[in-house]
Amino acid sequence: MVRFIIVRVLGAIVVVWIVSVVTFLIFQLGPTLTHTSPVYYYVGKIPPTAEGLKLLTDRFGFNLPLYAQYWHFLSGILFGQSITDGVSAPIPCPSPCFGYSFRQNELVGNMLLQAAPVSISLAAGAAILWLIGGVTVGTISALRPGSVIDRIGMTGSLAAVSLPIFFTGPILLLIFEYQLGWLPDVAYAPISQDPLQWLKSMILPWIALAFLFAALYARLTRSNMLETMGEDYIRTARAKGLSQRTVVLKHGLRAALTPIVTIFGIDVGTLIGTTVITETVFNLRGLGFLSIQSIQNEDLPVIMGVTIVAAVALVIANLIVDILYAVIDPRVTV
Amino acid sequence: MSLPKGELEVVGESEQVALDSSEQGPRSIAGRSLWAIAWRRLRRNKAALVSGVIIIILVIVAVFAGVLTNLYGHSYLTQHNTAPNSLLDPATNMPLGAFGGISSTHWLGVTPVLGQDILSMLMFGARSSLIIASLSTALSLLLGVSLGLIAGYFRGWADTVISRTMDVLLSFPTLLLSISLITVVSFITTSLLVRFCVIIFVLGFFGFPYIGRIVRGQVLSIREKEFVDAARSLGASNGWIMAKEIIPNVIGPILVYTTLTIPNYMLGEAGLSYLGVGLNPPTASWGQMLSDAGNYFQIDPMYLFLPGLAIFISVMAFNIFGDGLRDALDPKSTR
Amino acid sequence: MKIKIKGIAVISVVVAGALLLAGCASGGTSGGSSSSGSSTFNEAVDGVVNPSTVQGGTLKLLSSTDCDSWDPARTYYGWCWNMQRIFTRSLIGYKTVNGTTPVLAPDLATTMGTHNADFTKWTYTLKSGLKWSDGKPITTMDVKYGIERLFAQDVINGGPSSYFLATIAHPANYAGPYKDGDLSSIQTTSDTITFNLSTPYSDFNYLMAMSAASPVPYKTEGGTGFVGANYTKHPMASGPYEIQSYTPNQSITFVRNKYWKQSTDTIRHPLASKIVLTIDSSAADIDSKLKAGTYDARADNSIGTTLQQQILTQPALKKYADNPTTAFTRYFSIAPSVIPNVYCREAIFYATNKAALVQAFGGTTAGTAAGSMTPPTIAGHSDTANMYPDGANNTGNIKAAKAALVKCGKPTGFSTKLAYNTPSETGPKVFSAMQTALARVGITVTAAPAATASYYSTYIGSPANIKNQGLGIAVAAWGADFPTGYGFWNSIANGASIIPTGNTDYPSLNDPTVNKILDAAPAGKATDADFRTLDDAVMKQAVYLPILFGKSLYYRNPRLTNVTSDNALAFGLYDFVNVGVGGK
Repeated sequence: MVRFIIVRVLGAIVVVWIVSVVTFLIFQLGPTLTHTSPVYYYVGKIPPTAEGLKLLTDRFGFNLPLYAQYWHFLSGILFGQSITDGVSAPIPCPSPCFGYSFRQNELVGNMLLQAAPVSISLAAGAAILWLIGGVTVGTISALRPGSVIDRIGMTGSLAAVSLPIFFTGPILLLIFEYQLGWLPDVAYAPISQDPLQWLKSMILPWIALAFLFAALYARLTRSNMLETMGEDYIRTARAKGLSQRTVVLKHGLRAALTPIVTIFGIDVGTLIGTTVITETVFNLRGLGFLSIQSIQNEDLPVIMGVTIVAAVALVIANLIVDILYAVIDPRVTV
Repeated sequence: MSLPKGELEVVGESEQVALDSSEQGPRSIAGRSLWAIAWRRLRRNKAALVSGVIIIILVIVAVFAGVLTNLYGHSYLTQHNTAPNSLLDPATNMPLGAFGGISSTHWLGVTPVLGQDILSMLMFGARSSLIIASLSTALSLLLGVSLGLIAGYFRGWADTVISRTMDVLLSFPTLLLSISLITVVSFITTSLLVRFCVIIFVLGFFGFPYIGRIVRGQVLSIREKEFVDAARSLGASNGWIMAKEIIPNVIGPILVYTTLTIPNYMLGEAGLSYLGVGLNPPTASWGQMLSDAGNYFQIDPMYLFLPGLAIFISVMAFNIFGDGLRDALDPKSTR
Repeated sequence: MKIKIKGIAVISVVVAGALLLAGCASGGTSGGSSSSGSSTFNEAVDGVVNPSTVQGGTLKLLSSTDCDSWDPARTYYGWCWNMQRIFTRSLIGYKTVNGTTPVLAPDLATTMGTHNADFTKWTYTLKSGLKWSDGKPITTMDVKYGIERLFAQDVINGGPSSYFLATIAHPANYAGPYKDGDLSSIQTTSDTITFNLSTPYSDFNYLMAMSAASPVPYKTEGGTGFVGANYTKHPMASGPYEIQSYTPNQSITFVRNKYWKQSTDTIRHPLASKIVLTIDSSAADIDSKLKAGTYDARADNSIGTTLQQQILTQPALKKYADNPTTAFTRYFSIAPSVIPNVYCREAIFYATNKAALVQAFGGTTAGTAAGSMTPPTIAGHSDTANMYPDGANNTGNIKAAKAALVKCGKPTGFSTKLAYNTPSETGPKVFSAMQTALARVGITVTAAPAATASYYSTYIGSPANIKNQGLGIAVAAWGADFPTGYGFWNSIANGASIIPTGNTDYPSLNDPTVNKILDAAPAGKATDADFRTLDDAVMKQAVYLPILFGKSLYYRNPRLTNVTSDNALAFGLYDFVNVGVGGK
């Protein structure tokens, strides 16, 4: 078991490392192929003069070979580093240090910390909604397969999967914010500061995102339930005279839910840092918003930071699920 | 995660499993009669049939978009934005008339600002959408089937390398890498062909491990069946066994997967275009229309509604059809 | 190039001249009545809406993004220059900001700068009794230090440093005060400061009116931890307001600076006791808050499409809106390196449908079709000049275009690419409109969209890239950083300013007539008539195809008093430092 976990953790680290190399190369590629100094992408809108170009090249180490630049970045994450702003005493940036955004004049780590709560709020809230909604619809459908309710539930969920958020999002906004005026001000506020405003700002994005996932979970729950309810031990339970309610909730649902919970873990992990469209549609300044913004700005340190955080979230989710599986299911080779 | 689904991010680990779960066990023996049974079942599924018809119409519209818009009489490239031919309110730039300028000449109205015909734009959008979705699905199939087959059939180190690679790809923050890649390529060239190719590549390439895993799993169990052993003991070559014994038995799941992947990639293209890293004008794209409509949705909601509906109907049709196909091919299905 | 955020990027230069409106009007006594006086559409453009002297209250502003920087040396957004006016002062300032003739006045200095005969030495005397918001006196060393910082390009980047680097004499490798100490070409006494220039520069007062030229506390800057690049997080105030709190990308709050004295300031007449700027990245959200009256004005840009539509169709709202002319020109750069034959370029000029382009940029409230490059606020502007007449409705002159194509030797047309920046709401529409217009004469255009972040610096800002990628036509915009003929033209038309990357003379225009006037101008030897000649000479080359003179649409809360447009610094946004809220 220990060996299994070690192998898996090592594998996860390799994945994150590959992601960091690929991202780094993608963004070194553009400037190199167009014969432009990466400084221009680094500093943004106002290009430096010839002397400025030299100063900045030195400061950011763009005159170093590629591997050295990459190592500088990687060692910052592993061991931390101190960032100099060219003037005052160096700013300590402990591990994991993602570097410094010259564009934003801020440590990338701070930007990630500022954005992460938004994305986590979004993913967590939506996850709760879709889990409850999806499992409920799926269970009801499975109990009466072929009935009108089943058909409505399943067709509805097929419809929901077919609706992109950049379509449902504006429609939700149009109805609830602008037409009905129920949510006049949807600016995000941290839950610790203003829970009510936080809720207001999150409710529509949650609904939009949960809608999509709930549909998948409903279908999944239904098929798992149908299968479970056909098993012998359910028949036995029924034969023992247990009530339908007990059979469904205690025996059927529990068995049907086990695989769903694992998938749930992976789905939530996937969402951290990748809810680009939801955050764009609803103007939430989370990790997804940060990523698209920094890609548009070609702000390499921030892109690297967001990508790695997203990869780590995904890998950890996978890892936990893998290990849980190994614990629960003895057939997994350990 | 693959790119699919409405939020590109919503990728479907769950969906994946939903698909797997119905695929249990190969239907080894059935042979031709299975297809006959499946077809009979499919014919009985009215929703799937209607969806099939919608898909056929969609394909016809996409293929003959040029001819159809000629018959209809309006190219989406024509702008009705300056006097005396303007269809827009000169002060606000918004379409004149109710519901985004719907009229007997412009059946679905015109766009704000430029006054382009929405119906013909939707038709050409269907073409972009289908080209990208089908070619990237083809790429996923090519990679997924061949690698899955190799991994499952030969096992050993080939399996290890391929499976690990697929695992790594599945743990990538694919969406971010895709956006980055497309952005960087756009520094180098603005060629439309290259743009199409890059979009097809990111959708198809990052999506192949899903089909790869399914094929591998199927092949793994099929290769242990008696009829494969029999062929082997009769001295059949690996190539012959793969072509004659294995592939015919995995076609069913591949077909189902294909029908369900196309709509995902349609959503993928729309999402990328929505984010501004997909197709650019003058190439029509539903996602790009939605992105633009987001600027005016309070004033001209029809402009948002129409491309959204186009995406919805197309994707839904593929999903229902794929669903029906899966049920039809599933021996356990009660239908 | 001051930058306007929306739409095309702009490099716009702003001019500085504000009109004076505020000065006279608000100082005057209009009886202190507060809000809800009468108001008409466009009233703030040339006049003052609701003149008042009522003090107090909180001015609530919205913007869709944070400033590029709050460090006065590092900002280039026009709206941020307008925000700088709230809390920083420089030797010279704009007394009048609205109308079409911005007027300079001494701000921290007692008088306008005095100069030697060839404009290479400028001297200013500092007013006495000036204090920072921490109570320490503002010294000539602080002024000098503020300018020296601009030379530290590896730390202080993003602002209009290049003007100062190009004019102030300095050793070749001077890298700012952090590495190389003080600069000997700037001499100070206890109350005077003298700048020795490397080249004549008659517009130097305009440079001194930029926030980039404002003082920064010598060496200590914003205090421990707020030095160099971090000064943006805690810039010191010399103006009537100081920063009370600032959360990047969320909000910034200004309160009155008790060390600022009205007696030392003839430009600002602050009324509100507090100014809060809240960042809300949804344009639709901003529109609905403005309409509801819960916020007073949008600080960074034109109002959004939704509110614009409501304003234009509802007179009750329209009277609280203004549509000032802004000091920038949107144009296409037509590259001779890609389209060498002047007649082929002329064919593009004639075939262009400016009416459709104005639509694509947002309609008549976004600007009026331009016949030449010089915008209305700049010397040499002409309302009638148009070397390439394009029909009664500005929809193009097909006949002339076809004739030009014949002269070019390509009677059936040719193909080229059109570059624009993305993502942008207007870029794709401008492309589509242009493609349709040119197709009328057989000129085929394909799209070359490029990321906004590097569009101006390395995409169309690189003459080699324009040539290699064949970008015959490129969307661009330009506004002067200060409102003189020289300020408008030098960066975009002087052959001497062409550089390999970060070029602003996109078509690489290098014309002797033009160069001669621009070389003579800094020595004070160019008249308004010369700039008219210059404009004609530029147009004759058929490389700058003007599209429109920009306008913006703004909305002010009915309760606001003393409102006027800031056309000098900020594309006609309201001059917030002088705006009152009727005490509430």
